[in-house]
Amino acid sequence: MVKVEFTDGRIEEISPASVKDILKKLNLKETTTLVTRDGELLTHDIHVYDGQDIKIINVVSGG
Amino acid sequence: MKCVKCNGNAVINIRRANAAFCKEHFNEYFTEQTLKSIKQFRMFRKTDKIMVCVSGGKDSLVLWHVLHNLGCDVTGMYIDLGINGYSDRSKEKVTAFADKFGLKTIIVDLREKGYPIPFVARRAKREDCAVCGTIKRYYFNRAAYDGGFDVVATGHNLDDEASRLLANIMHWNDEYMDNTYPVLPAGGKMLKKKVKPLVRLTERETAAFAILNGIDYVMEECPMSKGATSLIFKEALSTIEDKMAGTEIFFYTKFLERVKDKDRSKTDSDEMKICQTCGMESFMDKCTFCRLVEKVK
Ligand SMILES: [Zn+2]
Ligand SMILES: [Zn+2]
Repeated sequence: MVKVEFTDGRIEEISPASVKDILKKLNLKETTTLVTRDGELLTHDIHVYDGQDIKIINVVSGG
Repeated sequence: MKCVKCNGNAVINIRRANAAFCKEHFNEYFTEQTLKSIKQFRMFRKTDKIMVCVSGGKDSLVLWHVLHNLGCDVTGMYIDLGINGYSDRSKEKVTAFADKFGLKTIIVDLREKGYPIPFVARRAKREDCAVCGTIKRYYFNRAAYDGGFDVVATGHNLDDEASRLLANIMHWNDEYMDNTYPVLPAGGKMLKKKVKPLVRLTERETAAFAILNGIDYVMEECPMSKGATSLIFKEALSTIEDKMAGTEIFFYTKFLERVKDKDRSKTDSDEMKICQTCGMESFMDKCTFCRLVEKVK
């Protein structure tokens, strides 16, 4: 499984897939998120493997 | 994905530009887009003294960083809003950033002044965000005038401006439409010119720039801004953009083309009065800020 950490600290487990498919599965938009693995930004075609951790950063700020 | 410039491994893809970039070429793209806005709207000259309004969030810190890297004479101006927890954490990001890159800062602490936002809002029986807007605007204008700056820069990005424009159109707020223009002229004798060099870049791009360049920003939102209606328009716009990449920048730049010839020269200084309490220029004998804070005393 892939461990996904969100900006607010929430953690979810998800099956391995490409970044694009992970965002789709989590119902998140490509335009409002960035995904990192070990602190490195990932493009949407990158595959995330079993046992890897990723972070999903919500880039929308209010005000 | 490969970088469109060098064919190296890309770190970010930008659908609206139909491009992907490695770190180096993303930084180049980001700087070019900023410079393009600065030149197109004649925001400032190389020798101008610039004050950038910083909150600790990604956009303002990134703008500060980019202007500094371009060799501009830039000072960051931060207002501690006195919101427990949030203000402490955002101030820490600002000071850490300034220390790391050796930048000039001005800090105004509203707790020291006796005007922390939640306190003033409660006493004046007004909305937190409205009070915050009035107080911030006052101290930013005041610091720009007192510090002898030529221009005030803010980190407003494409998503901020396009969603504000959308909200104004939906409410047919014709008179506010112009607030989304990238340059707002100086007014009277004291009000400095305001510019938004990041209007061509999205939030996703400023966040990526921050991450790639080791700019540590405050990710949490101001607790007072929860449920802000501006977020609803942002969400609507991002839903459209996600399905039809490029729609947002088209919407915003076409608006700019339509209004580019409009006369933006602000009110003549003859019409302005001097606030009898604080000495800043105002339309009335007492400025909006002084009228607000006198309710607190
Ligand atoms: Zn490259
Ligand atoms: Zn006053």
